Amino acid sequence: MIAPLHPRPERRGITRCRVNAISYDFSVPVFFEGKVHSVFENAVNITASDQLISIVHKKFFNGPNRIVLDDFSFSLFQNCEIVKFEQDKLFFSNGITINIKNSKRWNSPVKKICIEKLDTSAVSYYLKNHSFIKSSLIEKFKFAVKSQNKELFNYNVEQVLGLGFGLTPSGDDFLVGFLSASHFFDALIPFDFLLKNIKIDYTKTNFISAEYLRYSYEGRISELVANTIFSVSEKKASADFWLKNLISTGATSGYDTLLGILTAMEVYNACKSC
Amino acid sequence: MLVNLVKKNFYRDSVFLMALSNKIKTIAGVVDSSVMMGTDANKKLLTETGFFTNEGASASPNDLLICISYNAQADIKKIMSGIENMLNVTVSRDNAGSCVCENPKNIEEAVELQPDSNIAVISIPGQYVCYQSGKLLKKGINQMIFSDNVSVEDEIHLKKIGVEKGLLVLGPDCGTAIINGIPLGFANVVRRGSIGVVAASGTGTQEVTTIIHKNGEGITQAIGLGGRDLKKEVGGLMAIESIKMLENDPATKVICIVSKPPAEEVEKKVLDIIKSCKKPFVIIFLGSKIKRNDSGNLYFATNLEDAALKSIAILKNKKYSPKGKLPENFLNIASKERKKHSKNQKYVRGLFSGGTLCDEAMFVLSDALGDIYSNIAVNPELKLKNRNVSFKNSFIDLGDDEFTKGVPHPMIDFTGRNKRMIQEAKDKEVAVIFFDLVLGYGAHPDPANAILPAITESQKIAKKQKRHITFVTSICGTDLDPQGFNKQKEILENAGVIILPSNVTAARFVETQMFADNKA
Repeated sequence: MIAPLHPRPERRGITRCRVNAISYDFSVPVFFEGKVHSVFENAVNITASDQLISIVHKKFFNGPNRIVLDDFSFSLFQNCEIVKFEQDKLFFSNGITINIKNSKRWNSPVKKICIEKLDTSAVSYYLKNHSFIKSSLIEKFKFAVKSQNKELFNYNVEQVLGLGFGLTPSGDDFLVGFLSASHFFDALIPFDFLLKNIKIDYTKTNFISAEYLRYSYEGRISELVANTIFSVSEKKASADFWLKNLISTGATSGYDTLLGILTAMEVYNACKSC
Repeated sequence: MLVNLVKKNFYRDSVFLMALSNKIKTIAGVVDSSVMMGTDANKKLLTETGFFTNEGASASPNDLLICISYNAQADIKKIMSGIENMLNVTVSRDNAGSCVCENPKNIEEAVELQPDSNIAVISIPGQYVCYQSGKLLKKGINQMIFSDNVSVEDEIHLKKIGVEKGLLVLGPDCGTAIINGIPLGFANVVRRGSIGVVAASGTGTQEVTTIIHKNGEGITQAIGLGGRDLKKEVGGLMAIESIKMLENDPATKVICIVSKPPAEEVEKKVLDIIKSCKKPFVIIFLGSKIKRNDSGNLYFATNLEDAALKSIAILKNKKYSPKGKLPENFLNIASKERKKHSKNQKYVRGLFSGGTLCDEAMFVLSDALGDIYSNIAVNPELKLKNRNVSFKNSFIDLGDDEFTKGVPHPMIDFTGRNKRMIQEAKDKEVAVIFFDLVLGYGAHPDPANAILPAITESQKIAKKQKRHITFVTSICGTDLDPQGFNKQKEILENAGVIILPSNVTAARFVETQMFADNKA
């Protein structure tokens, strides 16, 4: 019977929501089907064929497998919603469409740094009294890289992997900073050695953190981290801007990443002076 | 005392986790707490710091591990409940920016918000319709699927479930329905009455229901089916279901079916079911040239107006004679208009926003005008080579997909049609511009004023060239529509547009005028 139908058109749900992205990483797959993995206040993660694709607010800048949006209510996404990406559009099963057709295509910028001695004072200043990682561990990292001792280096990696507070544990953030900087400095033999021999057991940390680690290992460095490393190393005027943005990432993630960068810089200086 | 709580696959950002750790410490009886992801390194650290218990051993790197030390006297149940409440806090919406969406954000929330709702309108990308529609069917909710690009397999699948559960699955690509007096999609405000409409045509439904209203009657329901329901593949699944529903609805006295000619076997199946019903049925198979005779409870109509008026006549138990001729007053107007045209002005240009109205107009005029070229012509020889350029007598459905890619439908946005109207007016061989004007929900809030600049501009162009163009239309709408029928009519009349009471009458007006021209 028709009689029981009670439509109430005055209250509407999502029927259509189309958003244009500001930019996207060139390595975002051109076609995928996946689902929403996790939703945060300013980001949503999607898993597709074991890859992590993130949609983030512009304040997080560009990054590997990342699509950047202007102001948007990320709470509209829900875990496990189905997502399909085709013809430059990301279709969510709850009706949201994200269009990247006219968005800027971004590529991870790794520029080789060749300076006699890096000035670490700015980074040290920002790191004063911060970081979960013990200084003794940092010394062990420096020693392992400088001495090109791959067993010791991988043992140290194992010690910090998945260690600490936060969604991306402090140890992982430290490694992200260290590995990212290594790509900028890999003209030096110790860094080249490090990147060739490092072994990371990605199962020892959570999926999101593991993906970030994988990106930094592969030299796919986020805009924020890359610009911090480059501007600090080259003593650019923009260094302060990038440093401030980096340390304001997460609760301690920014500081921990910066500590990784500082450690790599110190290794660089030590090797240069040899 | 120690306790570990493991939250499986629980992801919150670092700021949330740090804040959570501090908040937990404020719960009465909690001495200390640590909130970390359950990685091996963290488990080792927590063991070293004396926070780890056997409960925490099950945590994987993707799980959240909450470790609490508390007073022996504390109520652990209260502590755990307090933690659960903290974890259930949803992501803040403080930063909601340019997004225009409103709550609810999924079907579950929508149903929770309106538990007594039993019909939903689905308008999402086609590939997700099956998924969301399936959820709704499970919850026993009828639905109108406005979305297109839904595969025929999905349509059949969903409609079969609908039939099984006795639920309506209107569409996909169903643009118009009126359920219990509520217009859904592109639909008019039509009086409640005793005629039930089942239609596989959006503007077809609008034309029939508005004519019923204009002639003093009303409808019980207007059930849209979507364009494919009566095709061979779908087999009329929802048409049959709707017919059964209306047959069993005590408020419905007459049922009107509107569709393009169905597949032969579907037509037979549907007609057999109708014959077994007790109520009278008026059927219009739009564009069919097959002569069908009335028999038993079956009454066939030849056009949309005919279907509406025949339904009313049957309802009122009155004798009905189809309107074959143009009313006298319009014959006089046609004659006067014809005299204003030069010998070179010999073509009609139809600019429609409703596909069915365009079809109907071409069908009526095809005998009088001969070849009519169109972007929607079935005959490939009559298909316009370039849809943007008219040829001889041309009728354009501007609501067709090829015109609406990336732009709003011409019922909503008149930009494209206005531009085209001016383009047609520049053609010195054009005598008549025939268009439709659709009112109701979903349509432009003031369509007459929206099209007026193009009419005025076209008239200026013609006048400059010492020509006269006749503008002909019918308004598909009612006095109850938000745009106001009389107000819209007045605007167009003041602009010199000839307004006929229905699309078919407007077509006959053009036929009368042009046929006389051709004869001359």
